Amino acid sequence: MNILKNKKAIIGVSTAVVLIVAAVILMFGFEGADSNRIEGIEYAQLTYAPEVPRPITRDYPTKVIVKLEAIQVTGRLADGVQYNFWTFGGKVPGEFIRVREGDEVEFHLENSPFCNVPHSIDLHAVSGPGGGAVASQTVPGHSSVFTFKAEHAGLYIYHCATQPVPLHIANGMYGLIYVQPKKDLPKVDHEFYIMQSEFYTNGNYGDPGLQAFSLDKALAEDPTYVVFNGSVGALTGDNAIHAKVGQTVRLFVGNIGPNLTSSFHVIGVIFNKVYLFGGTNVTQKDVQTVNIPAGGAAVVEFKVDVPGTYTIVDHSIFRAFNKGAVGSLVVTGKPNKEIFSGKQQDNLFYGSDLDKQVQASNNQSVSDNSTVGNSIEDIVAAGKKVFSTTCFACHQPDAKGIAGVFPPLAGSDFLNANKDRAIEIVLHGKTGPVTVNGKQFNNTMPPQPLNDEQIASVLTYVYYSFGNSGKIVTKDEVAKIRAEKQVTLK
Amino acid sequence: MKLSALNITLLIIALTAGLLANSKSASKFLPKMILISGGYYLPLFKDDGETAKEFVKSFYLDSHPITNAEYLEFVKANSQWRKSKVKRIFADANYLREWKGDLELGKNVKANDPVCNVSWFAANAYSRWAGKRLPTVSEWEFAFSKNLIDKIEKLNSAKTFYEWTFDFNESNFQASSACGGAGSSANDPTNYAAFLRFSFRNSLKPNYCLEDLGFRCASGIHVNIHDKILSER
Repeated sequence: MNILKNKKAIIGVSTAVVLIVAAVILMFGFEGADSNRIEGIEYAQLTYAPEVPRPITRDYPTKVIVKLEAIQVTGRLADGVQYNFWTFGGKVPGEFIRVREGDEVEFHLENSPFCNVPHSIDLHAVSGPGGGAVASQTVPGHSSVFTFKAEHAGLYIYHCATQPVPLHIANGMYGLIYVQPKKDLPKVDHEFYIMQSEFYTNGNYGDPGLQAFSLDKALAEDPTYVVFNGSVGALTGDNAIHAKVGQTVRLFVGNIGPNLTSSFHVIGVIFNKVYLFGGTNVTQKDVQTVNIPAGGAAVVEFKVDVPGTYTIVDHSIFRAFNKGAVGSLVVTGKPNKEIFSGKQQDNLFYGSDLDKQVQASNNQSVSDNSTVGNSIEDIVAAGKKVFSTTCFACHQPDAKGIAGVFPPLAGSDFLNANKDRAIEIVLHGKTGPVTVNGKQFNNTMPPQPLNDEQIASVLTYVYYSFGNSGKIVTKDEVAKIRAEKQVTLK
Repeated sequence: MKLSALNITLLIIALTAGLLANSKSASKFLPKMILISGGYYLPLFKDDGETAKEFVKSFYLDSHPITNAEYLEFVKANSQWRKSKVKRIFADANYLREWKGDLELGKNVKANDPVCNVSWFAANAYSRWAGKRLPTVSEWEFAFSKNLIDKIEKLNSAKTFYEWTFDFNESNFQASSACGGAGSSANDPTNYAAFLRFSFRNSLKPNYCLEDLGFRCASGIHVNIHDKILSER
């Protein structure tokens, strides 16, 4: 019994020991797998805009070699417009670099022997002086190497940091580096690379030929061009990005400026998720427009449900309309009438009461500056003009009206009996039966979009003519009656 | 101009070399010099506590950058500066890259074009051999600001042509080179052309030999460099 008991105890104890050891091994084992030990070596995947390198699938840090060449190229800025671009990798923006959090990045900067200035790189993903600027200072025909640890996940700008830095940036030396978090963002169907930037040229927008950099415009922060991916049209037409109905899209967006903050917007799209400033947290859901500072970035995600072309803009909208900040996302697939119907009706519209009030108000504003003379002759003359453009159509040029349809103004007892009523009818119209000179009329007169001065002068004209009673109607009288029924329009 | 011990040493070496060189009558191959009358100029960077403008003493400056033909005379007289003999510590592998041989320019190199792909050490040695010295940054910038050496732009209009200066990397430029930092310490932050030159100079090491980089020589107002040293001691 005792032995048996002891046996059981021994078995129990050894089981516990085994479990503890296993747990310890497991713990250390996990820690080992998640350590910062660098394993292996590989070349970074680099892509030109709008492509983004495929997600990195390895789950350990490695040594990544990145090679960028600084090279100066004459290229297209817009149709018929050329510019001497300074680039990383021969295009603007420079190649998209994708590494993984914890990677050791060995960075090679080569400066083409055909360049005529030194170049360098400041990667905003680097913790260290100048983001690598001084370490990578490289004269033409040389190359430099430095190494950094990609400690901070997120989307970062890189740019040339050789003096004068603003010129190197303005000429095109920038791109994005994405330090993919250890646990990458959720899988999406498409990832795209969009970079906003400005160009300052001596000529105006669209002026043909090779355009030189304008320091004056750059200092005034008044760009000639604001573009996505380096030139006007680099993200439209054949260069548009594509997705299918029901797919998810992630945009890695950078804005290098060099001066402007972007109001990044995709027309007809609501960003389901925004990683503001290119950080790793979803900072906001359901967003229309994202601010991206110069030298900053953002990651936005959305699902496309309805086919069509979605226009990508800087919603500081003159930049889109007049300076080139336009791109296109083309979505193909079946329409979804429940989410978006398309046009359902097309009807005629003659204007509402609001329209009439707005018109009257507009005319009122105009009249504040008008200068009709003060003499009765001037007022009558002005009134005649109004009559012959407005009233005569119904009441007829001789003011005798049309029997049974439009009542006469000439020798009208109805008119002469009550001046205020006349003013009110011109202001607000009149519908229904009236008796004029013993005859019944039943019609509608719409409110007249005239200002106080015009109503005063036209009524004075009518009272002074056509055998009427010769009353004078003043602006103030009209204003008083208008005020009684005024609708304030904001 | 304050002279450090190093500079005095260099000038003494220059003096010796100059005297030796004179005996070989280098002067008949040398470019004409123009007198740059001294005056104030606005350096790109101001030093703390000093007024913005800097006084530059009168000096002589070669009227044009040293040409291939002129440099050929130097390597003929100084075999250690020939393409095949030069030590890498003094000139990198691009030294006289376009020359066909030690004493042969080849058909692609024009005799009257400015010599390029020469290191600071080489430019300095040439200057000493010629009984002259390299201009200081201040002297070069002063002369340039007076439009006295605008020729350099025209000599090679397709690309900017730079010239070695004696103290090419001594400014505080590098320290303030991060991003916008340099602008705040500059006297005229809109002088982008000057920034380009300073940034070029500060990216150099003295053994670099570059396609767009040559030099010209200067000398003090006292033509005899020996007198100059005595007067400044």
